[in-house]
Amino acid sequence: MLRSDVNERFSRVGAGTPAGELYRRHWLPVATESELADNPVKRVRVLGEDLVLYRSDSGELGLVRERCPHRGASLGYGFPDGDGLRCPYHGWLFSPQGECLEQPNQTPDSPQLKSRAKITSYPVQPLGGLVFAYLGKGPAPALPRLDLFTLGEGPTRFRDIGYAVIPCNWLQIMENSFDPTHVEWLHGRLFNYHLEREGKEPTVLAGHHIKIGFDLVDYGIIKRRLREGQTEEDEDWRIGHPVVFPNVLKVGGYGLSSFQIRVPMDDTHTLHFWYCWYDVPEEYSGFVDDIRHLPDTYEVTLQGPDGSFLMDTIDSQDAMVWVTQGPLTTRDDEHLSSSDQGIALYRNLLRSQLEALESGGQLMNVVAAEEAKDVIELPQEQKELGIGGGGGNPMASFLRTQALYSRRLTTLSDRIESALHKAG
Amino acid sequence: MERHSDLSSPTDQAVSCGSGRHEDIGGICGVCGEWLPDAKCRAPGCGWTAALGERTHEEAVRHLCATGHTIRVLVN
Ligand code: FES
Ligand SMILES: [Fe+2]
Ligand SMILES: [Zn+2]
Ligand SMILES: [Zn+2]
Repeated sequence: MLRSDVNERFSRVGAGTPAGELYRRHWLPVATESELADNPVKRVRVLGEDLVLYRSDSGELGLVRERCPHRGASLGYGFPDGDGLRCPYHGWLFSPQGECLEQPNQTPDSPQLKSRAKITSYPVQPLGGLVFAYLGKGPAPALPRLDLFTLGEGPTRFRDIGYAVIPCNWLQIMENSFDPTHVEWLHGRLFNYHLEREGKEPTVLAGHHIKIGFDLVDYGIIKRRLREGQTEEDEDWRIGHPVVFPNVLKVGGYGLSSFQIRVPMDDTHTLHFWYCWYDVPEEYSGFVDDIRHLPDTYEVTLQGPDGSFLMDTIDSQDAMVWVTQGPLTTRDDEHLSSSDQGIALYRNLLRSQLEALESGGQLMNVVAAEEAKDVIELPQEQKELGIGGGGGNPMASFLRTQALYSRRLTTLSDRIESALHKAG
Repeated sequence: MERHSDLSSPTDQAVSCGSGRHEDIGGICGVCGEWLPDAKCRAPGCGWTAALGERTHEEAVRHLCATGHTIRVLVN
């Protein structure tokens, strides 16, 4: 259990809070580049701050406070013009650095009023199709070039980025990444219960865990599992799932390479990205060309119209257990068991990082911009994401994940399905 | 190794057998139920290891931060 004051210290992310200040030392993705291509102005909420991300006509990215300093209207309804973003109300123009460039109906022109109207802005950088923001003070550290962010599309490979706003605190989501045994219940036994009722083929995720282990490494924690029938040579144990502190989980398997990235929007909402690369068998490369014109960004639906969580994908099942703990769960009433040791390890790591921040020590994964690594390689499983239910179609079992909402993936799966049908 | 003054344990499973002698039945104490994980450093030649009940996790993080060594924490 966690005393309630410690729970608050670990969970809350507003300016001036311990975890909020820690997150202000890390780059955080806030949108995808294709979203901005579609609409160059996007309201974003990050670490309790309401901001507007935009791309100017000249192509520069900006992230500025949402509230206009003139009389408070939302710049989120503004429009790009020249080198800046114009407020929708009276057309004041703001540069990506937050300077007020124009106050059209102010006569005579007042340099003093302009300089008083400077608004908060933060550095932004695109990488791998995502737009990252740095909400800290002072010089921004290097944006970590994690391996999947540096991949490119290829004849058999394409990118796909799902996102959803999860209405709960970020730590509930991260703790799940250190909880190997939930897979056998939530995605195994519970999923099979629902699939059986619908007369569908069960998943292969219900295997019982006989051992779990965690490696503390220089970038975070790798979780490992050993299930009945497996040996330590199996990828589940040998390779495992790395978590890059504080908020990125890598999951691979059967042609999928993915990050799950959790960005705290405020204390009770988290922007979740499923950042995926798919590599399809050679014989389907023609179909990959067919889907490349489709957007690489999609919103994931996790709840039905009545608000209850859908039980038909692994990711909506996860969201159900994250959110039903409460908007910001209490932990003074929990009863941790031996399967929760990864959670204990992560909380200890988080605590030590908060202490390092407070004492001016070195922070994990925060390096000066000039020391940026070209690529940060992370271990990844190739074969272990067996979900079942795909038949001869290698993409179909992904339809039991959030990819069900991807236009690229569903179109590709349909094409393969009909090709198999014709051949079959 | 004193406890942090301003913070409770991140987990507080440390109920402890008064004597300090737990009965290890594989990962937990059969008498009081406290966790008994093993942490072993994997850096060649280091040899650091800890089995301190719940505090193992804390010490493992401390060793990582001090040395950068990879540590395996195992719950058998
Ligand atoms: S059994 Fe784990 S939350 Fe209920
Ligand atoms: Fe899960
Ligand atoms: Zn005991
Ligand atoms: Zn060591």
